[in-house]
Amino acid sequence: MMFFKLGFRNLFRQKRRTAISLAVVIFGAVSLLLALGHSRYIDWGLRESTIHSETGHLQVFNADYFRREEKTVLEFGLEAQAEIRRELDRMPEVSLVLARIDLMGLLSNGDKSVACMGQGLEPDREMRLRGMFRMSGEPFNAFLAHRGDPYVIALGRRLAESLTAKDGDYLTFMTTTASGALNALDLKVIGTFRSASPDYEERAVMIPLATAQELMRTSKVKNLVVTLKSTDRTDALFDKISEVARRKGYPVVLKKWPERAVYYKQVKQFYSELTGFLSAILIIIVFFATSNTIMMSVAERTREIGTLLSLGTTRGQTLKTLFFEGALIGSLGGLLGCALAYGASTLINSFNILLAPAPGMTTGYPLMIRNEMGFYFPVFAAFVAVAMLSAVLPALRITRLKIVDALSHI
Amino acid sequence: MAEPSVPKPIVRLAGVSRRYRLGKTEVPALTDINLDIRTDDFLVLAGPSGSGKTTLLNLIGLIDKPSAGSVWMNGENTTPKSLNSLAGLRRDRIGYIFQTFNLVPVLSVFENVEYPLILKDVPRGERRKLVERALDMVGLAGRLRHRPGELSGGEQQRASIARAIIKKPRIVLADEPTANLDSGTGLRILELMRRLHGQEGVSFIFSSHDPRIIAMGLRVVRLQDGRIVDQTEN
Repeated sequence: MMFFKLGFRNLFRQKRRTAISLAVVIFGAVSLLLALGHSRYIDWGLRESTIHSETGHLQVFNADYFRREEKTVLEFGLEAQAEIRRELDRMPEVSLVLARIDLMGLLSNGDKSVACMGQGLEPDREMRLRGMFRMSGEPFNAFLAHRGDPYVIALGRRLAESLTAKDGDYLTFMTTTASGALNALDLKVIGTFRSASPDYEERAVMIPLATAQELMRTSKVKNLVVTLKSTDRTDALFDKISEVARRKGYPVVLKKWPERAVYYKQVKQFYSELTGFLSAILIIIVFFATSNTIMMSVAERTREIGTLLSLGTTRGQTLKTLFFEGALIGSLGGLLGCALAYGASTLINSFNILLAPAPGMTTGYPLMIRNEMGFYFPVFAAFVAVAMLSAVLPALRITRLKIVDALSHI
Repeated sequence: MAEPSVPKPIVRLAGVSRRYRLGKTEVPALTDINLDIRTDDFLVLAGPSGSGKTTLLNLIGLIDKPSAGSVWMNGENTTPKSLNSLAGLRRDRIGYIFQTFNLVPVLSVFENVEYPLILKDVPRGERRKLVERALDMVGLAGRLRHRPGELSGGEQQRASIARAIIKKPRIVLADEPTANLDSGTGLRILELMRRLHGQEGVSFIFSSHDPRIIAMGLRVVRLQDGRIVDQTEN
C-alpha cells in the first residue's frame, strides 16, 4: 500500500508536468475515440445504406449466374421467382423480398440518343427497402403516383439534363431482349433522381420491373434481394434459406451482402487503415509523453530512490511504484478522455455538420460520431497499458542504478 | 585470572580495499582495512575529507562492495552476494542516518518513520505503537503529521534517527550526521544518539571531522588516505 501511496503522491510533486502528461493522455484518448466513433459511423452508415439501397442482406441468384458467362441477357436469370418469394415471405426474420433486372440500352428524345443503364424494379418495395436511406430526389413516390401507367421512366439528374427531358416528356428506350433481338418502348418521364456519384447520374434510369420484363420479353428477373429485420441475423438466415432451397430443389445460389458490396469493403478498409495509423501515432505520443514525465521524476528522485534502496527496499518494490505512477496517469487521463470524448461527440452530433463531398461525389456526408461503449473500454485499457509500459525506460534506469551513486546524486 | 570477555563482532572487515576507476586510472579509496564492529560500539570514524570515511560506511552498510577482501556480518561472508540480494540484511539489520537527512518529502514524519516497518511486514497496529514510541524518544511526538519540509534541520535529523532505530537494527550508520546542522544542534543530535545507544543497545558508527563530535565517540578509528592510522577507546 505504501508503494501505491508513494506513486500517487509523486504525481503531485511537479503538478505542472503531471498536468501536461495528463493533458496528452486526455488529448490522445479524445482524438482516438472521436476518430474511431466517426469511422464507426461511416462504417455503420455505409453498411446500412449499402444494404438498404443496393444489396439487401442476402441475394438469391440462378445457380449458374456466377459459374457461367451469359450469351444473351438474363440467360441465367432467376426463374420460378414467385415460388421462392413465397417461401421467403413466410420466414419471420425476413423483412422484405424484392426483384430486380439490370438494364442497358439507348435512350432517345428524337434528336439525341444516350447510352444508359439502370434497373427494372418494384417501386413500392424499393421505397420500403430504402427506408431512412432514401436518395435525394426520391423517384419512387412518382412511380407510385403513376401506378396505373406502366410505361414510365425516372432519370438520373444529369441524364435528364443531357436529354433536356422534363416531367411529362416521352423518351424512347431501346434495348436487347432475352432472345437477343432489339426492342423499344416509349416511356413517359415522371421524375429525376440524384446520386452520390456524378457518373451514375449521367447514365442511370429506373423503370417498373414489369415494364423491363415486357421490354426484354422475359418473365425472369436478375435476382431477388432479401432484407432482414436485423443485420446480425445475416449468417443464420443464409444457412436457413440455403437449407430450404436445397430441400425444395431450387437451382439457386445465395450471396451475403458483403460479397456484393465492393465499394463498402474498400471504404471500410480505407478507414480501418487510416484509424489504425492515427491510433499508432497517438499511442506513440502518449507513450513518450508519459515516459518523459516518469523519467524526469526518476531523475529528480535519484537520491531518494538510493535512500529507499539503502533502507532495504527491493528494486521490484521501487519498480512497482513507478508502474503504478504510469497506471495512474493512464487511468486518470483515460477516464477523463472517455468522458470528454462522450461529451464532445454528443455536441458534434447535435450540430449536424456536413463535410465536403468526397472526390467523385456530389453530396457531402455528415460529421457524426457513433458512441459505442464497445470501443470506449478497449481505448481506456490501451491508454492505461501504454502509460504503464512507458515506465519501462525509467525502470531500466533504476535497475542499473548503484545505491552509492544514487546517494551522492545532486 | 580470566581476560575480560570481548563482545563478538557484528561486522568484520578483513583485508578490505576499495578502488574506484576514474577514466583509465584506478584511485584507491580504502586499502587493507581490518576492523571489527562490536555489539556495544559507539564508534566514530575520524579523518579529513577524502580519507575514506564514507566509503568505509558504505561497505559496512552493504550498499557497496569491496574490490578486495571481505565483509562479514554476523559470521556470514556477504562479499560473494549481489547488492540486490543483500536488501534483506539492510532491511533487518542496518539503520542509516544521512548527512542531508534524506527523508521522503511526500511522506509525513509518521510515514517516513513507519516505512522500514512496512518493508518488514509489521502489522498496522503494532507499527503505529512503534512509530509513536520512536518519535517520542527523539522528541518529535507533536510532529507526526508534518511533512519533512515543515521541519527544521535538527528535527529532520531526529526523524531520520527515529527511522533508523525503529526496526531495532544491530547497527546504525551515520555519515557526517551533524555536518548540515549548527554546532549546538549537532551536539544535541549526538547526545540523542548516545542516549539511544545506551537505551536500545544499538551500535552506532558515525563519521565526522569535527573534533567536538569525535570526542563524543567511545571508540575512535582514524583514517588517512584510505588507511586506518589509529584506533583509540575513550
